[in-house]
Amino acid sequence: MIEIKNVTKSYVKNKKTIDNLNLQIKDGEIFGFLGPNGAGKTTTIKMITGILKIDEGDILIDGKSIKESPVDAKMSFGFVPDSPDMFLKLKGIEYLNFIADIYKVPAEDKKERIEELSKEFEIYENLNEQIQSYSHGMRQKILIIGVLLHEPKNWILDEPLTGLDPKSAYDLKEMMKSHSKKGNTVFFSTHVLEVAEKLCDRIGIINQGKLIFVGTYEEMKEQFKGNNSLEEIFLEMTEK
Amino acid sequence: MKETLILSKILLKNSLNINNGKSKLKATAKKLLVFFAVAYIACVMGFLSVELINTLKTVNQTGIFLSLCLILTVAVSLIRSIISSLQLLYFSKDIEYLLPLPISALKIVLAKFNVIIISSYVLEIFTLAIPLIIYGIYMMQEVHFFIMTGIVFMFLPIIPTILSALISIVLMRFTNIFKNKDTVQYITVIMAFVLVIVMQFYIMNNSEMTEFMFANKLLEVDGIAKELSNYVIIVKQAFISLTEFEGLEYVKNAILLVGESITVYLLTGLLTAKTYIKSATNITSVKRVKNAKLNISKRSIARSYIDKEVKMLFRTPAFFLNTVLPIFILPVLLVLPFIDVDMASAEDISIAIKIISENLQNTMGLAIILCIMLFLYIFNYISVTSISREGENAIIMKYLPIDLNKQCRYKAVPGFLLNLFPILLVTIGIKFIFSVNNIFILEILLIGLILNVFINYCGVLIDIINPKLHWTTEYSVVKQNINMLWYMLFMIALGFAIFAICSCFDNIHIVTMLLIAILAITIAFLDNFVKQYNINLFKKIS
Repeated sequence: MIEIKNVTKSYVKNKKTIDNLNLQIKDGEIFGFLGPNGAGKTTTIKMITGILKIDEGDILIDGKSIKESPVDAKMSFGFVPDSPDMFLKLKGIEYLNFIADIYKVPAEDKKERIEELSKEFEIYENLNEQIQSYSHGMRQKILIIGVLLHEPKNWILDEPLTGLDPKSAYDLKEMMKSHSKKGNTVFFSTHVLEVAEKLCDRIGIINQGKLIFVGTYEEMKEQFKGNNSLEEIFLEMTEK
Repeated sequence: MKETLILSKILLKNSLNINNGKSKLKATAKKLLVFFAVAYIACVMGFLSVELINTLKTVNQTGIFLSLCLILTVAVSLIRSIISSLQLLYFSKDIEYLLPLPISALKIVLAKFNVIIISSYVLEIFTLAIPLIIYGIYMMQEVHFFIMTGIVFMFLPIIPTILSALISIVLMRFTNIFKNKDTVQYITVIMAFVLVIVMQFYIMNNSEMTEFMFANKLLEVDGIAKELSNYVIIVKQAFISLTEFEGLEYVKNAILLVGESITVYLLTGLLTAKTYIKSATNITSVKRVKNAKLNISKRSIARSYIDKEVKMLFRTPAFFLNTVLPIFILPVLLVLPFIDVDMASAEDISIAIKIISENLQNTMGLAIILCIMLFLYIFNYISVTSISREGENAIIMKYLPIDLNKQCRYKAVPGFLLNLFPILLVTIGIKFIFSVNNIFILEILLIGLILNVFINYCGVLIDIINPKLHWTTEYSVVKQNINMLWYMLFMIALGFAIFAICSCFDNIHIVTMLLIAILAITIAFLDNFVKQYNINLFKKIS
């Protein structure tokens, strides 16, 4: 479970990038975080993951505060950043070994999980190559495998479907569903409204640092009866 | 033609990194710095030219000066252009953007040739233009000479440069070694270092030559140059254009030089355009490994983290060549002059060693040794660039489930390990050169080790406070990083502090214990400080 409690963040004085954000992503839920460019999505994700300092409020991951006990909180989630261009000089297998060691994956599970996941994502044959030789989609896959490797209860993904081929995108969506069905949490940001519409149990829309809607797609349709598609509703909400 | 010129201009600006969004003040400062550097080198070349002309006057052979300058220019253009043509033709990212444009392959190739030729002109200013102008003025040459100097300056480097580009294109088309960008960078820089070492040896061997011996040596070189000019016809033509002003022989040779240069330029362009495009799109930085066994092993967090740091450092040529290699190369270059000494100097040196040995085992001797160690540590920029090298990916430090102070410790380890080389160099050197007791060596070793921990940890902290995270080329992390200057100043200050402490005591053991205690307490304090204030310290990484 991810709990965001009265969180405020300012980059410059008297201008709140995130203004008193309250949000709870329950266990067993896929939560889509939407908003126009510059709305505060990335800032929120950066605060949840401990990259940015929280000015006011707190964020709890499975009850552990990212402010008070950051290492414990970080152990409870896996994060896929928006840019997969990381550790380009490492080989795929070296990156996975590194992540498995950092997240203390038991030695007896490590080999099995690496082989299983890399075969599932069709990257097994490329694990001995440096990540810089990978395509964008393959880099995205290796990061996702890195997250899945330590089986965290909470997944946090920033634009996870960008650059993935249709099969990998489908597989990832299925994994997200299966992960949430096991009672775990998936929190992801996206610009693709259809994905949010079809995949998410609940949607949150942020605009100018304020959460302007949280609920299911049906609840949103109910609230905006005149509009048919999520796209129209989204535009109406964010262009007010 | 117009398209080729526009493209050349853009490529040139891009390769020189002009318009990179710097403030006016910084841009002006950079221009001033470049101006002073150029002016300095120009003065040195001018001074050397006058010296050389005077030397040649002693044997009444001033004409040799011209052939030396011409052959030097051709040689420098040829060697330098192999590296720069590989860089410009194959390892710049622009080819991916140029290919979709409606520009023919020939125009792209000619534009790239233009950039390589123009960059050759920069070196030619020092090897040809300044020496020839000095020669012209000094020898009171007529206006013909200066006009011909201009023509030779413009056309002499074209054929060697184009030949280098041709060699690069052939190498890239038909061999596999040079297709890996990283391998080429390693080979070229290591070759450059070897060349510097060889030159240093050569200079040492000839440092005590008289003016007459030197003039004779030049005559020998001139003989080789003349022999070469029979094969390198452009040198002969350029030489005649600059010397034989009676009749129209000089005009005829200048026209031949210009004609040949233009023909080679166009012909090579026409012949290589398609081959170039084909091989340029086949470049990689990757060594493909197929069907190798996966190495999956369990290691501790610290081992895994340090292993990752070392791999990233050693596998990135820009980082390896600028932060690792100097640790080994520069001490060797500094030691070289002391290796080749004649008998008279050897006697002086043995007396000096005896005197130093008698006076070394005291607190000031210790201070001097530690300062030498610090001086050697200055060449190690691994820790002070440890955060910057990660670039925008440094944010991963913030979401990995490892305490930030522990990550700082891990990041200081590669720098610490590589500094063991200067520590060993100093301690072993002192042990074998000077007659000092083992306890003194042990004390040096202990202080050297804890000093090594301290400076590497401080290096990481300097980089954390103001990391250079937004860079486009890896070289800018190690070439344009102000943190390296801060680190150097910090080391100088540390040297003064060590001197001050050592000068307060006479007992060497007390100083040793004191230094170890001070350094250990400071390291513990800094580590605790990072633990307490990590969020604020790491705020620039976001």
